[in-house]
Amino acid sequence: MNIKDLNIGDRATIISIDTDSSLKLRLQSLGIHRGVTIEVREFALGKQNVEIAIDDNLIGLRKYEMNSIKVEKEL
Amino acid sequence: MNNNITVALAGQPNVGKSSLINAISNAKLKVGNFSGVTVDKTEINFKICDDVGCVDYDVTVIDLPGAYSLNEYTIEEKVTKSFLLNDDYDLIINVVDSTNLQRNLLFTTQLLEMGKKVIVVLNMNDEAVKEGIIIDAQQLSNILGVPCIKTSASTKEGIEDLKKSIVEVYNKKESTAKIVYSDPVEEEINKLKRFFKDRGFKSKIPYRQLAVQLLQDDKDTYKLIHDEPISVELIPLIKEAKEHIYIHFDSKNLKEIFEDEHFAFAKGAKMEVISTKNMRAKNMTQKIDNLLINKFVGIPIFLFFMWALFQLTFELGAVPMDYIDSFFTYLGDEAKLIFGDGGFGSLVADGMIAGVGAVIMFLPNILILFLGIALLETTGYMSRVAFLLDGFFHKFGLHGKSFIPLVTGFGCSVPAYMAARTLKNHKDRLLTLFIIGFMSCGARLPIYVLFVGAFFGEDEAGNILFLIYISGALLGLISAKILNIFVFKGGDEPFVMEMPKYRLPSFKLIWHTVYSQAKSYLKKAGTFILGAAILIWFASNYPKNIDISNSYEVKISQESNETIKKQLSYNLELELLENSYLGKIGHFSEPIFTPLGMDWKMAVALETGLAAKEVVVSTLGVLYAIGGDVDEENSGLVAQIKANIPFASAVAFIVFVMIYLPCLAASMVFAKEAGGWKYLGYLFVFTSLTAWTLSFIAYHITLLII
Repeated sequence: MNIKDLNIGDRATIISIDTDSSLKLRLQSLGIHRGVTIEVREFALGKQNVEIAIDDNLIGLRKYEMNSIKVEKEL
Repeated sequence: MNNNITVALAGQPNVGKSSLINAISNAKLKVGNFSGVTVDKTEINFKICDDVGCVDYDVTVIDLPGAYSLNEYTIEEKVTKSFLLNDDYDLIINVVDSTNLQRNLLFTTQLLEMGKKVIVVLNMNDEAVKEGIIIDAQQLSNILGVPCIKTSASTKEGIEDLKKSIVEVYNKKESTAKIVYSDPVEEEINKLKRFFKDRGFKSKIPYRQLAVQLLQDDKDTYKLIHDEPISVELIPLIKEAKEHIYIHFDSKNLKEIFEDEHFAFAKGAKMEVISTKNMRAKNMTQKIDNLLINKFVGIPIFLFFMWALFQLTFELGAVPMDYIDSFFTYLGDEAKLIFGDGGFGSLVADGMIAGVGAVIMFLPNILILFLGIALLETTGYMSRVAFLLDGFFHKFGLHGKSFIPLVTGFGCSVPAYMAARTLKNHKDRLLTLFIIGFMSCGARLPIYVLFVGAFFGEDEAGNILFLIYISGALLGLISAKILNIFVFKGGDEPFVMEMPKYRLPSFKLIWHTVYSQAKSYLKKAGTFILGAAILIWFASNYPKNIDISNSYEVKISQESNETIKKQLSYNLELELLENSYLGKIGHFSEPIFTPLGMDWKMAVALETGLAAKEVVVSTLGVLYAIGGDVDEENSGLVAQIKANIPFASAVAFIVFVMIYLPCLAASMVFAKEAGGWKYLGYLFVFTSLTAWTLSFIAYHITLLII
């Protein structure tokens, strides 16, 4: 599953990031990295954008980036 | 003894670099403009006393743009990396947000790898303590091999220590930074180090760093060793080492492998030095975000803020505008008294003073709007705005942040173009700049009011005006989509954006932003607009036609009837304008406008509108022979226009005004913000073609309907 399949308030672990190298490095420099736990804070209308929290950092992503990040939901 | 130290200040965005500079120096901020760089770098000078005796040091701090990494993903990252690699400086101060240690350390590891002298500043320590985060700075210093100093720009904690440390590190011979990699990588590094040692290789940089850079495929380092005799043996050795690493990491992307290494190192370092007192409650930012980016109330709250900002900008800004206007009118009249009514007096009053006045008139608007935008940015709200609106704007190839420049465009295009700076991506910014003109600015309103008043009933006027504005905005969005598909091709720029913590704005910082923006507007726009204003004044006043003037003077002096006298002087004005360079251009370009149902008079009116849209109405006044001193509420002009212009031509005229190039001031600012005159050329061609085509369609459809 990827971030888009989560609901607001869900916590999940990042399993992999499948995208081109430069975007991957960009995501990683913002702390979005394999093995990291994220929490979904808010979706914009139609799940076009998402705000996720990593530790205390809040990061906004678009649909495209959401789809490239595979996660595993924490129960 | 040389006591000049140059310090490069680097850090991720929102770590309080600028406030730190303010805290170190009590001197005034001096803004340096570096050529070819759109991102500002700040230089300041201050003196340091160390404890042995008081020695004066002049320290130049170069404030590099905030960068998340040295991966060259954004303009800021490119500028920062290129400065750190190529420019002369003595040491790097890496400013780190103490409340966000792990991610910041990721950037620190990249800096440490450069082999320069580094000081790590753990900034915003007061906030960290409040959040229950305790960092062992000594331990971190042991791990990284460089001094780590806790500071707080607001409480001035650690500022003196930092000054001492700058001097100490400056006096050191070389970098003491160290990064530890995972065992497989360390093994290969050691192999290479041993090889260099065995061969007695002479290297300017330490063996370890050389080994790391070779393993990272660093091009410059390769060039360095390429001509050395040992390269014959070395290159196969490196290849083998990399193969080992590939196998171990199950990946062939060295960049990603080392990013993983940095991540592991930063995480490890953080784990060792940080201790959190009790689980703290959800922080303030997340609580505020629950409200401000909420699906349902987020957008209404934002619209309210925007409404308030525009009320302030255009209502409050209008007050000094009137004073400035009357002040410059007064100056112009005085100038005519001093220099006479002749050519020179007219040049000074109508050309220069009026030109400068037009520039300064926008200043109150710009100041208020930029104060508002600076507040939105420094508090961290701007990122939320982008988040809220990105879904909608992205459909048209725009970015969530495009909203603010676009809405500003309804007020005035000049600040709107400047507001587009908030878009960091070049393509997003260009696309937004190109369609700002579609948002009808305040200066076009008089033209609309005049024509709508002349051709539509009073009860319809409001609806028609609304229609004009809405269809302009829609056209803009459609154009954005078309430009995005056909002109600004290429994949979508990703939207990966930090939502910074909400912070109270620092007065000094906001003042600095607003001040420097106002200054650059006055300086750059002022010179060009002044020049162009003089040019247009010249085109409408020359060549002097003494014969026409003289013959009318005679007629006027012979006439006793006041009304006919007035009529004659209007005719004089009309004929002078018709025979000026501007009038000649109007006649010359008439064939272009004939298919739109317009004559040379309307063509001239549109052409003078390139200078300023307000001029269109007064030009029409002159051309339709009731004198230049009119406004849109003048019933005489309304009647004249109704009598002389066919309805379909009027519709075509309105459509043309909606779309074509905004005023001269805006065009100059556009060229500057877009980054070159060629873009102004593109914009001119693009808007003129669109305006002509749609005007043509509107003309013929109207002809069919009526």
